[in-house]
Amino acid sequence: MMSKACVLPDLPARRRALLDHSTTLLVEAGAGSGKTALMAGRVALLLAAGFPTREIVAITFTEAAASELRERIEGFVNRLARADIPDELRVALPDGLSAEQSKAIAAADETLDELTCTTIHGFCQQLVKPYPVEARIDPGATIIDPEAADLAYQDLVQAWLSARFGRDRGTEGLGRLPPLPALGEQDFFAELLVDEHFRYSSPNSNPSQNCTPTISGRQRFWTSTTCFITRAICWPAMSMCDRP
Amino acid sequence: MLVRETLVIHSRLSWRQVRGVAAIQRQHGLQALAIEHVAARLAGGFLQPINSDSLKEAIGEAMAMDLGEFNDIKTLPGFSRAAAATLKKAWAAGLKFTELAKTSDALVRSRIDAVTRLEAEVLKRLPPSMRRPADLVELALPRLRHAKTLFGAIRVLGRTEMSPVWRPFLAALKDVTEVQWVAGPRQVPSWARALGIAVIETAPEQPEIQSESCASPRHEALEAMRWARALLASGRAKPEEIAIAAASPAEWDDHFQALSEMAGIDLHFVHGRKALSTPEGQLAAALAEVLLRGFSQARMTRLIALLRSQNPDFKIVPGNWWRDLPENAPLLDAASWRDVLPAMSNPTDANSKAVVRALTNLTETLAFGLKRAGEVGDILLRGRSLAIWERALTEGPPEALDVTLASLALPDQVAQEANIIWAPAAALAAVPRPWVRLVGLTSRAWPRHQAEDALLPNHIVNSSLLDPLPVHQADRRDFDTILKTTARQVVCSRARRDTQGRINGISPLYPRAPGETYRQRARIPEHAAGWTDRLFARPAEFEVLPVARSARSCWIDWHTDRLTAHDGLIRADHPLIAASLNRRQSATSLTKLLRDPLGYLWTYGFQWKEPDETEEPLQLDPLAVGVILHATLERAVSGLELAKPGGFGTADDASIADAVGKALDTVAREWERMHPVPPPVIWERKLQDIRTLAVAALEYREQSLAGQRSWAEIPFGGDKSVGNLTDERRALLPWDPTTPVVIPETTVAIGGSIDRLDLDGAGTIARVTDYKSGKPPGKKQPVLKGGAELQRCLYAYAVRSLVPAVKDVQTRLLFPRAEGDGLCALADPAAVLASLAGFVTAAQRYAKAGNVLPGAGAEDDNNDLAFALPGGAKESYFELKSSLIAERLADLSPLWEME
Repeated sequence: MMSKACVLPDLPARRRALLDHSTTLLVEAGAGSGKTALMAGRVALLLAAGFPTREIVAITFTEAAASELRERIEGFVNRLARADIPDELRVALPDGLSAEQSKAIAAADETLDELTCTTIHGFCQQLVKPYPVEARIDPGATIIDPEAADLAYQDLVQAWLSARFGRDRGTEGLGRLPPLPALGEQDFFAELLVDEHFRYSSPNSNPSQNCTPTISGRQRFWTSTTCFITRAICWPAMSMCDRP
Repeated sequence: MLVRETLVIHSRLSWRQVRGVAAIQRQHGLQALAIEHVAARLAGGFLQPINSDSLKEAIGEAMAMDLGEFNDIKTLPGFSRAAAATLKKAWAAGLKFTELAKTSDALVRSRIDAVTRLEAEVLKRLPPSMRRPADLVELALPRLRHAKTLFGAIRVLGRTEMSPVWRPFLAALKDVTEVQWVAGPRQVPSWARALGIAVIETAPEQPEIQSESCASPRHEALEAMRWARALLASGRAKPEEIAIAAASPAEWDDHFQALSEMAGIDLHFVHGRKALSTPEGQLAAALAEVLLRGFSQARMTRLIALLRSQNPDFKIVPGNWWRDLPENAPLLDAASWRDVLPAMSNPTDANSKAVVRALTNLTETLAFGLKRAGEVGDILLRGRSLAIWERALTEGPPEALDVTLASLALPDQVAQEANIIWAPAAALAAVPRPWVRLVGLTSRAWPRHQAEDALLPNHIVNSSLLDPLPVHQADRRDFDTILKTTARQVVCSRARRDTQGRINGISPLYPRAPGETYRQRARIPEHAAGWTDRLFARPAEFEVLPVARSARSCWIDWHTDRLTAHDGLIRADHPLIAASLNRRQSATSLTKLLRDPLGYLWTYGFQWKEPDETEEPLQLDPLAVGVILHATLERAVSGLELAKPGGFGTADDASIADAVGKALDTVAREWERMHPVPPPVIWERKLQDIRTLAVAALEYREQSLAGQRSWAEIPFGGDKSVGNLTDERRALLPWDPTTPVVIPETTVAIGGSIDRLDLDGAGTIARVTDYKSGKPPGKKQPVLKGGAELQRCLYAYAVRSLVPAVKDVQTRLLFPRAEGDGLCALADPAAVLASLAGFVTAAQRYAKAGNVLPGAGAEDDNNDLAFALPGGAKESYFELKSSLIAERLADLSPLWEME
């Protein structure tokens, strides 16, 4: 009996997505047609081709999709390590794994923890964290959990509004906000709030479009508060991206 | 006989474990030391390894110095933590910065230079007895000849790895005394064999392995408690034989703390308990709250309550000290506390003087501000809470106090020797127990992801040099070790979703065979973890509890098209209703009675009111605007009238504006003292608005009556404001304000305060004006407005009954905001009053008969008691009930439809 994959009309495209490792590809296909499986398969075959695990990045748009993708990649690699070729990969491995590929997969199976499979935020944080001096970010920064971040944010907005409307705790030496500059002078916090508000409030906001232009304001914000990094700073650097 | 013997242990848990066992077995001469203490002991009498607190303190002081390229980030809150982590790792790895600096890569050189400066500055500031690991080893090696005497035979227990810096030391020790690496079934590092250290191995244990999938992290903790309790109850295990562990336990700490209390089973938290879960931690947090967010009545009340129980200086403060504070006053700065505190002192009571002094000192200390948080703590805190405070301040800057306090842990008071432990996997791997439950086997939590060091990342120093056993490998190894060292059973659990509801991936370590058990969140457990868990499992038992029966019948009643006790049917002649009805009514209370009898019972029977929780509102609510406006008008008019009888009627615009300005000033200052107000800019703007309204109201020009005299805010019918009248003002009133006023044809007495009354010289024509700060009505002029607009009608009657000479009463609403004619007169007050009297009698009758139902007023958008109605009442509840209610209150409900 022929396996299911063999009768698909887009077989050459699938084979290329799995095996053409030297080209940047954009895979566009309908819902449920197996894009995620294809992406997991591409990672598995990259590993079989001997690329080190720590040099591969797979990015999705949600945590759930990321963990599902990771699970699939692990599933493929585990099965390949047992010389059990999954249906989805048969198109790329009609004769199973070569000795060299088997060796590479066995090695990859041991180092799968080093694979980066995460959201764009997670990836950016991973990119930026080893460079605190260069990026001027807090080397002890950790991601605060979303509820606490929202509370802290509301708290600061309230305090800032209140201060801007004349009740400045900072002048008393109390409160987290430093005394505010006079109106008209540069107010880093206002700059930051406008920026953050813009990013939070627009549901269609594209992270790459509102990359932070105000590093200095942000920098001073982290200095004066300790919200640490509530949202990672983003820039358009991704190697693989799956948008469901 | 005393046999000197030394066990090299891994953690505090194993230290206590080993000492406990040694004590029981009377092993005199046995000592348990961490490897760094072995080195320090040999190196010399008073030398010691560097401890974390001293290190952080030294880093804090070193930050003032020139730290090369770290200068830009050294003041950031997480720097000291990151610096401590980097130095500890570099020292444990035995890195030599001088060697690393010999590179052509400028990037690496400048970073190594910064770390070297940091290290040098830190070392200068550490206590002289503290030495880096490599220094201890260097000092110890020449004294090896003493090792046999000092340590006897050395056994290294429960480890799978040891930092590179200690390895040559261990190798050297083996040449002078017996050294054994007691691995048991654990993995043995290759270097140990290569160095020729004797390794003692045993065969791995063969525990029963199970896997369970749970709904969420909390559910995992609940299942763990059920499992533990089942083991205890069946007699299969003793508490000290049970362990629950996670790679990183923090995520489950709160759940286990709560569930262990619920289950009545103590857990020893190996990694310590959150400081904030103790009263001392709460005190530190309450203090941080005031410093971080500023003074407020609520924050001070919390702080003082905790100080009373923990600081002897505040013992004298009585538990109800706050009773004398103005109830709603927010007291948002030190100045307002300085104002309000002396007033609380009772001259005849020496104690009260001392209390006021203590609270004044407290205020002054807090006013030092956040920058002097250390001093504030020294003055106000004692013992453990002071220790917590100091530690939080070494962990991060004062601005971050709330975050650092939340992350602090204190050693657990629950003894580990006789209890179940809740532990990080690494600790459990060193000290096995026969029954083990591992939680958090998800793709993110176990193994955790490797993170590069922040200050010495991979592109500066190869990660494998700095951290030979990175966290993901360590997690895998601990898991492996636990499976090999657990004698009876290992249950692994994973959460299908995380706390935010996202799907979790499954850990690669999660045992797939022999197949997992799927635990539903709402399953009925074979063994409940505690009382509430048991109740959840037995709906039949819960059903018969009074609370459940009542909740169910309420739910059914709310959704059935009949009127029930849950809609407000109460027994006839209820004393609470009778008492409320017998009291004097105001226009407001009558409106409630007519439009919303249930709301009337809540407000005037039960004395419920909407809680006011905002201490620092950004806006002034409309009700407050109305109150301030009325108070201002009253002051302004009575000021003008006091200056000269009839003075208001003849006053020109300038003197009215002047009087309003003065009146508003006084009213506003008084208001600020007693109520929360918006920030100054908004407050001043709002006051300006009120001033304009007040001036517009008073300057409203109409033909003066002949010989007109005017009054503002005149009480009648024994209104409670009568008590505030001065004799002087009282003498000027046109009537005795205590004379009762009863609505004709009813038994209802009314009282209140008329915004403004003008009488002509002969006393036969009266004009009653009620000011409205809201929007003027549209084309349709309201009469009774469904029972919401009673003032004109009631006040006209009050004037007529109190000044019998009056023949003609004009009664109007005045909307100063209106453009053009803001007057809204009531055409035929007598006829309206007659119809109102009929409705009042009906409402009274219904209430006495026990028909206390929510009327049309309950559906109003501004009903402040809407929270006590069924949720979404407008959409569902009133759809079902309002026609039934209107039918039951047939003599009253037509009023709700009236203009």
